[in-house]
Amino acid sequence: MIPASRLGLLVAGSVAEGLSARLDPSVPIEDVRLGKFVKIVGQKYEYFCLVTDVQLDSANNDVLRDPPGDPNKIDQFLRQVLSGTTTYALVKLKPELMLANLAADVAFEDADMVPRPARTIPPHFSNVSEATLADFERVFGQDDGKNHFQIGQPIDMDVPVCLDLRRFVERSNGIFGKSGTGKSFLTRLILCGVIKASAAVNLIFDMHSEYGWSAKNEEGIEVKGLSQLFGSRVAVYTLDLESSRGRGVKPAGEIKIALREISVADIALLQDELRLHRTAVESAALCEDKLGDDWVARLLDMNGEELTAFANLEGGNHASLSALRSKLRLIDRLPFVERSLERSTLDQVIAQLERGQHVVLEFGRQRNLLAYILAANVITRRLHELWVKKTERYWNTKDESDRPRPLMITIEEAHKFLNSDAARQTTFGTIARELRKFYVTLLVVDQRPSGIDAEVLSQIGTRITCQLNDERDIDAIFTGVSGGSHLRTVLATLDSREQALVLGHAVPMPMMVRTRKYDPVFYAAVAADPVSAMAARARRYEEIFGDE
Amino acid sequence: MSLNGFAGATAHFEPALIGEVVEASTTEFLAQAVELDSAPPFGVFVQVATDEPMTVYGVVAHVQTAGIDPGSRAIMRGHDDIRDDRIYQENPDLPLVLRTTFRALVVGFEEHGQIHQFLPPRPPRLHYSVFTCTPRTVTSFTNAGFDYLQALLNAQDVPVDELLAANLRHTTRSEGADFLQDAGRELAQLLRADYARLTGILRRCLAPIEMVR
Repeated sequence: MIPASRLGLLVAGSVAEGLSARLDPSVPIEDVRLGKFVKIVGQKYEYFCLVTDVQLDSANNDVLRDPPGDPNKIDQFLRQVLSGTTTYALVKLKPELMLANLAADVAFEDADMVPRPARTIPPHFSNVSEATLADFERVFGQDDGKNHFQIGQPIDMDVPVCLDLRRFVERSNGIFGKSGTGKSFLTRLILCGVIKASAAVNLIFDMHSEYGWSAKNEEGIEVKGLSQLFGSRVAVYTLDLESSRGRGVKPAGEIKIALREISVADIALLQDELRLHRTAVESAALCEDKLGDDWVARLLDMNGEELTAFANLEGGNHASLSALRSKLRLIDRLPFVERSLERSTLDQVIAQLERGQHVVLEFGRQRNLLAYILAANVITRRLHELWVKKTERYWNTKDESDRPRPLMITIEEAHKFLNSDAARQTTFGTIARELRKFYVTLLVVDQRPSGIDAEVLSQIGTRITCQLNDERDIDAIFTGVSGGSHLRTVLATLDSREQALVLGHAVPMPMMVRTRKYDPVFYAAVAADPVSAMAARARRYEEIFGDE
Repeated sequence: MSLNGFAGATAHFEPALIGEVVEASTTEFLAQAVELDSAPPFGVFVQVATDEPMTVYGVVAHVQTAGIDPGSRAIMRGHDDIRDDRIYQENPDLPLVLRTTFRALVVGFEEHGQIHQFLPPRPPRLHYSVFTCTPRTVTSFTNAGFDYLQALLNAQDVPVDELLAANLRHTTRSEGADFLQDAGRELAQLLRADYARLTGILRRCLAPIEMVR
């Protein structure tokens, strides 16, 4: 008895090279697409595989030398007869996971009951079939609003594919894709999942002001931002009060950065943006050493004579110091940078995060990289220091109430923070490498993953990749991923929108998905906490009965 | 003459007596047609009942008309304007000295209602009647599988390709185009090493069917 969902029979393969299955004549070859999720039932285990290639093959090469190509009835009949017998399709499969075959009469260990990487292969002529909803749930879990969050659906089926959020927030993650492929929608989707499940506290450096209150999708329709969906659980701060108010956003506060909050590490990170000479960082370090916390302001205030005197006294290079000073004027001129502040506005943000509230930091019109990198680095450095202290205290007391909340920091244009020069010197590089030790992770959003330091990339736990064209970027995605070559072909066939390849720590196996729609249905699903549900019901009441 | 009458799909629903077994072996049997020149067409299914509840099925692989006495050979009888059928009218003794025989390859048998597509334990008995198979019998025989194609393919001393094509042609008329496609696929499996032969057979299967439609 052949099961209805059977696609074919396993005919060849190896663990290393992947498997080959011969497609049944009754299955149209065009229905089998790259990235399809299929199941092979072996004698002891069920294997879950991805289709990595579809090939035409023939049992006899004479057919190919003299193909029945005429449009007449005889050749048409010949083609029908030959297809599936002499000429057939081979499907290349990459076995990803194995799970106990419950129908088998074998005593299984507990370890066999959870999906594990496939370390063997099923025997010849095992049935290859389409995976069912139950299979997906066994492998990816169910969207329960807590630990699993539905990120989308497989390309050709209507079943949920879920991220394991507990695993997701354990490590730094990346969302990649060239511009216009829906990265920021995907990011917002995932942030919603993390916030709803309270899996981590989020700080989002919102370069284009699209996460906080609202954003426009590709069709120009306005969609809800995080603070609309989660109300008081998400606070929006801004670096540009005027722009935020102009867009109708009511920010929780305006962020100003005092010059004394800027350190040498921040300057080092801005090397590219400020076109600093190599010696500038050394000069900055000298200034910080000799002039104290307020070194930026003091350096800026020096006139020519004072600078010469300082250089001579401390053994600095005059030209370098002078160049540094003129570059620092660019920072001084940023609207959100103040000479001095009575009290740091960052404290408010940090206190909010410590309480478990999520923070979106809008940049408004300050969307140039200089502003973005400076602000993000200053804030992240302080947070990282704080979280390291918290973690050390937790290690000492071993008291669960001291355990820091996991903090996830979302940064865009991540290659600016994490390129191979910057990654060694900046907090972001440290966070990306230190993993979850200090309960701080990154959500890296970027269109040029090849610009990110390889060491950092290899530490990225879950990679969610939209379409990429550049070969180097594709290579970068598969840094530190075993079996990457099989997935390259899959990645290359992603649509330019609403499709992504998810692989890594938070999914048991790589999966090509149609990303979940960010629409009213989704709003209702994520905002199903009591307060917003009540508000939604009230709105519904108004819709039905009018405002009266 | 009943030659044309046999061919149509709706022609025969009762098995028609068509001959008598005069030679039998495990793999084939020779039958004499009940009437001169009225052998079943090349390639059709025939059946022989036995004393046991067993029916042997064969496929007509060769038809011959010659003198009854193996030693005597027919001589020319036409003269002037006595030609063709008029020769028979002028020589009413001809049906008595000539006979039509046909050879059928054994392709399977039915025992206790079960059809098997392999050789029967015993050949049919001499002098038992040979019948043409009804479309219903052909359906149940072909539904049992396509293993019989292998038997035809391995036959000796017969034009195998012609035989296969003729058999599939006849059977398709009663079974429909889907049968031909399934049989063609089976044949493609059997002849996967010989593409030219496969296409030759399939072309011969198809042409007359197009004419019928």
